[in-house]
Amino acid sequence: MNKLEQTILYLLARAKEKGKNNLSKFELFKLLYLLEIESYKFTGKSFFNSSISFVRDKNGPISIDVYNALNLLKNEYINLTEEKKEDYEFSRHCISLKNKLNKTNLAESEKLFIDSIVESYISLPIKELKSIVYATEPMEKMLEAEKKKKVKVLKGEKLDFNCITLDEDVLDLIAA
Amino acid sequence: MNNYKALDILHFEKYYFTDTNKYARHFALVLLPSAIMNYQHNLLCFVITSKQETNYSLKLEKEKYRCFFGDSYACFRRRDIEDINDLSNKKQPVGALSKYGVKRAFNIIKGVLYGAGDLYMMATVIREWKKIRS
Repeated sequence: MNKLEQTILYLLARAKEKGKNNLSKFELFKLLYLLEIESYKFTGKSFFNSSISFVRDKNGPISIDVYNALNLLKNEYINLTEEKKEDYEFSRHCISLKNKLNKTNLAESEKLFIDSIVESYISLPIKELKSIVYATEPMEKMLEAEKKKKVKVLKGEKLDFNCITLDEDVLDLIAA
Repeated sequence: MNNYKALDILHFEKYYFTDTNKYARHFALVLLPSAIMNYQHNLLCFVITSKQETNYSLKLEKEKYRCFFGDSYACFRRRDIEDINDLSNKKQPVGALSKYGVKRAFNIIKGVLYGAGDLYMMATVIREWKKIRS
């Protein structure tokens, strides 16, 4: 199992511990995107060793790599269902763990980092999660490009994580 | 879930030293709260002792921190996972770092974690402490 698949299972397990029995695809995509954003911000590196990419879709970033990972996980590890949630008028594709997650190869510090991200974003309503995602540097750069080209959505365009500014405290450490 | 936060000072009846497998009564400074630890009753802590063990410590003067019996030192070279069930009967937290203490502690801890090369531990601590500072 690769790091992305392990991270998806770990996120689902943590969400469950926080009272969410499943995550919608929207939530999962956005949490993985924010994990990657914060990894660049606080370490200067990709959490997934640059093995995944995100592209622009009408509701923000999506990733073909995440779709592929979900396909690989669906028979043995996860359930994919359709559910209606309180904060959205239509039903959504939801993902939940089939069984309790017993073991993961993620490092302890990587798990703590994921926990920190989960703690910040897991309880937010979809709308708020979406606005946080839209306020990230790669999305702002994308929105700027769309404005310039006078198109509504540059669908399928790759989001650039290299434009993310390193956190000032991390920058201080590196410069010292 | 308990509400202890990073920067809180707690008093343990049985503080567990990960490296020696021994317990002792100690004060401790919370590095990461239970909310982001894998188990809800766990906290990541720095031990607070009466002796300055290394250069990577912060002096906590008795006059400013009334919970201590004498000048004490938060030791940042080591960190241990503690169980809240091992806290003493004192009213907890027994104290919290001052604004000035936070600034100084943050600088030392960042340096220790960066030096240890554990990128994601460093990233998590910086991220969590910044939340409290802001």
